[in-house]
Amino acid sequence: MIPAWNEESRLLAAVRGGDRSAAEELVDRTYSSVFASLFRLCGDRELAADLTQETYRKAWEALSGFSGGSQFFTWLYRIGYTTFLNHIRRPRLMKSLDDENAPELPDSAPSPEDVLSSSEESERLRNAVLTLSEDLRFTVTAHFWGGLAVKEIASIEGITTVAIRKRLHKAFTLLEEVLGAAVEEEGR
Amino acid sequence: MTHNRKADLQRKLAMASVATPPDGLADRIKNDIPNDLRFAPESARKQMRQSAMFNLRIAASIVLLVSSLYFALHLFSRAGSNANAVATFHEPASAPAPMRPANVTLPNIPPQPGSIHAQQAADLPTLPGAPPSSIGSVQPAMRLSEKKREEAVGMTAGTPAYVDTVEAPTAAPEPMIVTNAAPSPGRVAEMEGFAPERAKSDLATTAKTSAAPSIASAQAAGALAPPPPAAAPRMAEARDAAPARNFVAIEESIARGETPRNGDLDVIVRHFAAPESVPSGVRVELEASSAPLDASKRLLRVSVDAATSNGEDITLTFGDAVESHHALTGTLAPNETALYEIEFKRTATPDQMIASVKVGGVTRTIRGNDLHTWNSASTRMKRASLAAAWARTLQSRSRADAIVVRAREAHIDDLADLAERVERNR
Repeated sequence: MIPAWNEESRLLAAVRGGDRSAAEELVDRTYSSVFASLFRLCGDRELAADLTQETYRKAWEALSGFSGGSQFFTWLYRIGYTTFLNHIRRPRLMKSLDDENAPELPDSAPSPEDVLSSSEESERLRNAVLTLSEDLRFTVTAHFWGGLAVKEIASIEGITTVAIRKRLHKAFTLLEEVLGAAVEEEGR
Repeated sequence: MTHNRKADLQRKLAMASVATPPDGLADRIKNDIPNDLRFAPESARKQMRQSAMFNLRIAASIVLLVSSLYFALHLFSRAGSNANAVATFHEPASAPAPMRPANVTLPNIPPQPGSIHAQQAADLPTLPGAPPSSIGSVQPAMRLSEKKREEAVGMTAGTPAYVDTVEAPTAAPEPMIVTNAAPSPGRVAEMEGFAPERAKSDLATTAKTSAAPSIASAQAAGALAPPPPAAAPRMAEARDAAPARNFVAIEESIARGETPRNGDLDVIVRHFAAPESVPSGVRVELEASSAPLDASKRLLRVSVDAATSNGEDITLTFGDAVESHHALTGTLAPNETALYEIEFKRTATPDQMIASVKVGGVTRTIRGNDLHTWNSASTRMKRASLAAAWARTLQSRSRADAIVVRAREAHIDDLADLAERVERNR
């Protein structure tokens, strides 16, 4: 799905040369993965589509700053993740996961049950991931939902792969606690 | 966390649903692709240049702001110091006062040839070696005059020819008589020009002619020629009002941290040595005691209190017991207190006369056995001597802590409070 490194480099060089078809080909090869990652983050198809579109807009603007030191998708994922965070940090649309009294925003999109194989469990897991701290959340989502390798995440974060693995271990521990507490709540 | 739980969690995370993008998303994204994707190094360089210029502008603004603040503060501080200098320069009374010759009195007894006879009170701070800068810079003639007087005081033997205020040695030093004698009319005019306050004060007194041992002593006694008869009442009123007003002005000047002028010493002493009540007639007080800060030094106080001045002569005569004396402050005049430092002869006996003062028909005489210690002296003596000592510290800008202590011991709290306030302001 992700274009091979050499092929990607060729396409990027073509885009920088003003080749629009090369840009469209890059979109074709990456937008599904970007959308999937954002959908896992936000759990909303329409929102994920909008965020994906926004991600590419930002990518074209910032393309001159892309050094090619990592895969194009890795770079795109970071932009998409930041776009998602910016979105949920907007007060008008942000819904606190901890605040049970927060008003429920109307959602015209299909419910998660339509798209998730086990929607309740997936939703609970997504909410648990979103309660993690910033560094742990990015590491988990980039690795499991963005499909990035530990080495790539370490490169993006500027830390060692060992540190990334420690982050993942700590995230698992916290997720288990959060999920276990949620199950106990439901059992009562 | 068990391995199984971890694996289960990883599986759940990895098995998260894979949603298919909605139809048309790819087209929406492709429509957003800008028409000019060409990477333009020039544009990038331009952006970088603009960014650098922006940063440079910010840095320059900060530097400019800091520099402006620094220069503004610098200018303000300079303006403040200039204002102080201008204020000192234009101090109205600062110029005339040092010209008053009454503050330095030369000894009646000429120094022995070859001997050194310093006339400064040892227990009192010495007079400043040079006049205050503001005075010196404005009035070079005054500085010269001061220098002359200092040289006259410190002269080892003989009389320098250029010092016109030094008396010629007298053949017979005894008896030593100090009166409120009159100097020449020319001198009066000169003194009126530079010390109108004292001139007004003293013009009311009637002068006695030249029994004075020296012109300098006469000047020290503040003697001036009699005014025209018609002007006498007005002058007397001015004299009566002058001390209080002057002391307030001096007090304010001291509070501002300014150094008192030579002429202020008399006013300060006059203020603190003022009588508690003014007699209906004439009251003459003559008292000798140790100095407040040095018991080996002796002081003589002459106070003449009178409700009205009728022009009576005041004659002070030093007795056989006194080897030498010199005036510290004050003049022989009605409603004045004069202080002298006296030195006894080695052979002086208790029954020998220290001094005698005659005012009209009133005569007061004290002898050796009338000498007090400072602690046993009268309150007025304590106030006068301490005030004189304190005034000298103001002129020399030395500490007055010992004077404050002495004043507190003697319950002279007004002087102690003022001295403490001045010390705090320094």
